[in-house]
Amino acid sequence: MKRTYILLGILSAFSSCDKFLAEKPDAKLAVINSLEDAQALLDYYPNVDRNDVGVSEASADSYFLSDAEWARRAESDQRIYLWEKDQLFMPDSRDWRQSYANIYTANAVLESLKKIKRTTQNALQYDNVAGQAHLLRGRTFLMLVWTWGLAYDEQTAAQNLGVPLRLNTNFNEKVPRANLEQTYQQVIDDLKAASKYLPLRGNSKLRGSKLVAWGWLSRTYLSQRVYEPAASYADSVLQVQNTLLDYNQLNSAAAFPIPELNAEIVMDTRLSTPATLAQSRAKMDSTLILSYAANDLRKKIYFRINTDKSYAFKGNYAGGPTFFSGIAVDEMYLNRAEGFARTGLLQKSMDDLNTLLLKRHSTGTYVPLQNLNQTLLIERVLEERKKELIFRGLRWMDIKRWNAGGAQLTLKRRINGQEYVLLPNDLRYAIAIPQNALELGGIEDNPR
Amino acid sequence: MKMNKYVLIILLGVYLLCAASGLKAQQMLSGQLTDSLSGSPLLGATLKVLPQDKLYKSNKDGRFNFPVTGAQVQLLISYTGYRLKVLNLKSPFPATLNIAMVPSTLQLNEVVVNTGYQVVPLERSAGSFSLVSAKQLETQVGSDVLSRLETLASGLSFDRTEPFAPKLVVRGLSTINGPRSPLIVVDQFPYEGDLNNLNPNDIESVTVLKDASAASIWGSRAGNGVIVITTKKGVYNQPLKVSFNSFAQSSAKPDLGQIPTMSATNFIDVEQMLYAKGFYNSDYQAADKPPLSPLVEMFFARDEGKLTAQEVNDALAIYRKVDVRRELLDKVYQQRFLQQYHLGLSGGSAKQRWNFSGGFDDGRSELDAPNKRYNLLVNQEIKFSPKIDFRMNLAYTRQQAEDGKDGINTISTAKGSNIYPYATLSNEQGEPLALPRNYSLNYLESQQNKGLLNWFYYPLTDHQYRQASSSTQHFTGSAEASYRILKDLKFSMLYRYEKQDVQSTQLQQEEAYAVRNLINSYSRKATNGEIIYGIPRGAIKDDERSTLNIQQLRAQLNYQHQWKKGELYALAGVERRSLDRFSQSQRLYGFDQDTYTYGSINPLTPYPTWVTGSNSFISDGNSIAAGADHYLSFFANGSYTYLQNYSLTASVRRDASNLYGLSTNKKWNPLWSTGFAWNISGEDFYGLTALPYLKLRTSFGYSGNSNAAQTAVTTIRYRGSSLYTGYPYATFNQFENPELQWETVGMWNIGLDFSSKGNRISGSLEGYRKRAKDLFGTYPVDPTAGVGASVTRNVAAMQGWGADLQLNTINTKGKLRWESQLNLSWYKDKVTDYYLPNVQVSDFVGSVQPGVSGLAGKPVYAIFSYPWAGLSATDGSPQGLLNGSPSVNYQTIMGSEAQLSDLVYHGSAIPLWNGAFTNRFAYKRWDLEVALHFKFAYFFRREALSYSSLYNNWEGHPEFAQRWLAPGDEVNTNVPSLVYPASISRDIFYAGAQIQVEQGDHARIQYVNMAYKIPLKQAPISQLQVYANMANLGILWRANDKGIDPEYRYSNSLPPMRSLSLGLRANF
Repeated sequence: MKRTYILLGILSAFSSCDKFLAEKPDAKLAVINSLEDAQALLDYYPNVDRNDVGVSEASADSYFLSDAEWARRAESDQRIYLWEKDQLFMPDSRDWRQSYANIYTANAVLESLKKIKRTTQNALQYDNVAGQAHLLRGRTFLMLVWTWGLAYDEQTAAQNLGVPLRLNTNFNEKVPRANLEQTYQQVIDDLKAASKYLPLRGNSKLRGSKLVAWGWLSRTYLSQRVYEPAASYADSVLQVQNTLLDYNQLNSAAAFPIPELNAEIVMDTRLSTPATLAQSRAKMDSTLILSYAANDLRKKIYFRINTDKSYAFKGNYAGGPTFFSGIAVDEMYLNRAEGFARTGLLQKSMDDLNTLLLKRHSTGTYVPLQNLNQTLLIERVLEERKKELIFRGLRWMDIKRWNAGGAQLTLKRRINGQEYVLLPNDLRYAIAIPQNALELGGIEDNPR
Repeated sequence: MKMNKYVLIILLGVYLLCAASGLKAQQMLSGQLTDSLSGSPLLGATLKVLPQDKLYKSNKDGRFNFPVTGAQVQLLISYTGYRLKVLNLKSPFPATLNIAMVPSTLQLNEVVVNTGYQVVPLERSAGSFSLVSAKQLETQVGSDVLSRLETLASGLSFDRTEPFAPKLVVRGLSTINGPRSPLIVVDQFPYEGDLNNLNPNDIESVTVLKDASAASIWGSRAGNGVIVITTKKGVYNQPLKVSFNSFAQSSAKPDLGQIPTMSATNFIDVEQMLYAKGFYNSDYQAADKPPLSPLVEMFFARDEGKLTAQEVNDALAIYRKVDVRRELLDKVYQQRFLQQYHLGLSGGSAKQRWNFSGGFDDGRSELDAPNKRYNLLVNQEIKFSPKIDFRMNLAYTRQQAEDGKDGINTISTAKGSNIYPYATLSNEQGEPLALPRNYSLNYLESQQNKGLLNWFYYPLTDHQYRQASSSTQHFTGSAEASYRILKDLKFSMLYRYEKQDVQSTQLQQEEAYAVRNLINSYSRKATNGEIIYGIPRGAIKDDERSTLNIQQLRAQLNYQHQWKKGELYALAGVERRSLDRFSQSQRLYGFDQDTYTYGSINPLTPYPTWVTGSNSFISDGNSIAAGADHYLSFFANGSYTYLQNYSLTASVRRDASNLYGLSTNKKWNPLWSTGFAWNISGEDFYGLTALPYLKLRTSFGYSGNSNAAQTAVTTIRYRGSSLYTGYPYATFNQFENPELQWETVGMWNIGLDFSSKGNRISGSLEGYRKRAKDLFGTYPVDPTAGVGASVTRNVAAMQGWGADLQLNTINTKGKLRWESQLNLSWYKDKVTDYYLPNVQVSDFVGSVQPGVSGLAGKPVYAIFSYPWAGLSATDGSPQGLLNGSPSVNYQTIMGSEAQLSDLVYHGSAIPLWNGAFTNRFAYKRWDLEVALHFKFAYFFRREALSYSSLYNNWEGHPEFAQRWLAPGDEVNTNVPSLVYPASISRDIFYAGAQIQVEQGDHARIQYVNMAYKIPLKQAPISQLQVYANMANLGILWRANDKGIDPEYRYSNSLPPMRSLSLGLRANF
């Protein structure tokens, strides 16, 4: 008997094997099996909210580099600056890769939701997570197509290249580039799904909400030059959130006069700042600086003067040197103003511009716009977009779509005495796809 | 039933000393034991009589005389270094037995190997082992064990192809991207603590298990070989023995001259040029005020009219003569010291044996950082009855270390670990001077009267305000009980508890730079001009604790049975092992040491920082982590020996672990091995008298390589909480890969053991081949896939071949005894399969640190380079070859169109030949040992001048002085001309060019040890020895003519310095 007990005791020491082997090797690891896990992925803002495509601003015309600064940049950055037709990205460049990583995150969340039961208790949270994932995917596809696709045009959208639409987590699958039409359709589907599932306002400015989805829909339609919905989605946002900061209340001498997460911000997302645009390197375009009137407070609040008398961008809604690219009230006013102006609602458009600009000029000095004809009004809206939305990830798209609509904006760079020109509607407005994406993904590069 | 069927094999014959005497005589058995070769008598051999189970010893003439009962006995005779002899005697017994003992192996002091699961006589094993005895370890000094093995164990080497910690390697690579380190076993169980906890004086032997047959008993963790360390035990029937060892070691100051840098005057010229080009303008204007060298600051001041040109030129003249390394050597570095004391006591009676020892090490580093180690070891074995015995082992270590001064690698700036060569640390009065660390000095000066704390960093004195100490406590306690169920069946239970607790504390006073910098960064000015502190003033105290708790339980059945012609040994068992990790760190701001109070911070609100005004969060400095590794294993091992000449061995093991998310069928991983040994010299037909011992053995088997980081489901890792939402946030940790397998390594080994007459020449020669498949490899993925740049897959396979020769010779006997030991290993590997989606030549050229080439048919680490076509005669640019003619089109030479055939292939980055040659001379009371160590047939890429690193990171290179200056120079130099702006591709091409590849072959003197035995007259001391040891004596010969030590060639890793130790060893 005694031996039997000893034997049993020994055996029990080695039993309960399943539980023993099911222990987590690291307490911080998990598989995505709850709404909290899915939310945790979407809440990792350093990846999800701080990687909006930044290479488009590096390609745009708000700034210039001195010869010495250009010479100091990496070769890929130098090529981006000069709108070279290819070889723009080092293999480790983040813009493309991190955008698709965010799309993967959204897909993983959406797939995990299929395994979680939606109940009456968790319905709100369930829908919220689903909405955030759709928002992330939709807005990421949009930023990708703004940068790597040509401007949207109804006539040619089915022929022109969009971006690969990855809608699941199977990373072995080869996904070719969709056309522009399909890409924009996917963006709209995702953003509409997001606006359906999300709560009206998020519990944090780092999470999505209906307002954010509407803001992105307004941007989408604007970039398609479909102005009526662009204005109405902007209007939907402004119906709920329309507070503008009064720049007279800000201390323009401060390093970063505009606070982070301020009242104008609907959702705080940021660009992955290209090295070229760092405050110490990028000098602001002098015609842009000259376009600010003397009583325009933005000149002092957005910029500081370098020792060589050129201007550097301080940053605006990020409260620091990173570049805000999220949805904010000022942009919604401009979107609505443009939509109104394009659709002939001139007075409404001027009202919007006046509402915004009143808060941007010294108290008592702003002369409201009145009686502008449509052409002048549209031009004014476009100028105000340029002056208000500095490095917000919108300028490249704006230039592209205006040129597609007949504007004649020619971009110029000068390096070492040589001038480089980017003519309107040049194919290089769809910048080169990173080589490793071409080689490993087998996708088509933009035509040259 | 014959009683002699149940024979207990004498496993530890070397330690078994018998004190039996005075037994009742019925029939006397007497005779003499002699060496079969020399005929000299053998003293102290153990004779075991069965079935009586009595032990006897031979006397000094090799004679024995003892009584036996019964008509039939079996006599087992064992003696260190000789083959076990079994005699079956029937009455009437011969009057005198003259027994010639046959030497077993080359090993003089060892006949058994310890695999951690069992102690096996080497003779009947088919596996490959390297044995190192305590005696061999003794001739080197130092505080750690493993570094001593480099010259002692064949097939074992230290890989120094990467900077910093050398990696211990057993027989080359078994994996490409998996874990590389061999499994370290201390007394039967894997050791998880810091290996520096082990005191070399406590080590009885080290066994390296090299082939699958030897190692596969350790299963999935044995793929890289196993090193079994056995600690000292007491001896039965031995009176109290006391041993004492102590030494003092001193090493020279480090040779900072080895750090490649350029002269101050060259550096200054470059800075002047860059300044003129406007290179520093953006840094000067940048809002974050990055550090600039003092000279550049002066140039700006001059151009702004704050300094005269004369003042700048005066400063220049002084700076040109400075070399910061001189001052560092003078004021910071010192000699390294180490003292070691060790006292051991041991003894035993017939029923028990014990050992107790204590050690103390006291060292001080070249940066004046003290470190201490205390060791305690107790073990005891008790025989309660013939059936039950019990063993226990307790070991405790405490290591204490403190931080020292700021050395050349810790004086870091925003430019990395480089400093401009004319940095001065103190003025003429000896007062410390500031160096730029995070910000420009000029900027800090301008902030001085704004109410902030002093913001300068003074490298000479900063350490005075930081007290950082760490204490490692390590404990193992093990118990083993065995019960003999039947005469030939034994059951044992083993349990070990291991705990390591590392606690570190850092108290940085407010005067410490790091604290001042942090407080100032989060300070801001209130409207009334007062400073508001985001971080409370006072010291910052950091405490960190990490613990390891390991529990291991093993139940094992041992079976042994002996027939007339054969013997069977078998064991089977089950093992459960759990390792739990926990770590936590916390920080107190505003700590006051007098009152033990602290302040608080607000980690959730971003504060504007002083310099740029951008918002930033204050880290609360807290973290916590936990994890567990669980293993459950079954194992079995057996050997059958027939007629003492043929042995067949087999072993199998199955491991299961909690590797996260692996589906159950993959948790279990069976691994097996088998081997065969043939003692040729034991055959009747064998007649080679010159070679009385010859054994052939071969084995084949699989061992594994588990990597807990690779899992088969998509996992996420929680990374704390979002500062914005307050909710926990997470990122992907691993992406689902259902096809992931364990890596397996199949190894075939063949070996020949031999010894000549009189053991003049003995040794072993082995050859092996290993094939590793399903190896993890980085598999580049489409960036559009969304899973980053690469994933890990089972994409690779490799083969390795090798040969190990161990040759021991006795060159002269007599007054001068001269013995040599040669360990020579040859190893070669090649990649047989590796997934490479697109072949970019630049991937194969790589950097100074060799990378995995991943090219089928080539070594795992292969060195390629770009063909060199000299410097251009027109502008001194480095030229490569494009379509056979010299070209400076680096983009194309290194670009995607370039072919592998365009590259120069040099060879392996891992030495093909690795070896040590040790000579021992004994003359009267003197002993001299000289060990040489060498590595042959490999290549390395030396560090080259890079203009972009020089401009951006202050990273100079002495060859700058030889650069191309004017046409014609290309005849005499290969160093490219200075260009501005720097072209990165030009720098990369030059660094990867053919001329940078050097042959790594070298030989060095590892150590010289001299000992003298002091003559003693009847003192209580039985032996007293003094010794002197010199180590790291440097390179004896090298293939490269650049004066580079191939093993310490990185600019940030200083070679170990020459050391001299004086010591004393006594036995009572």
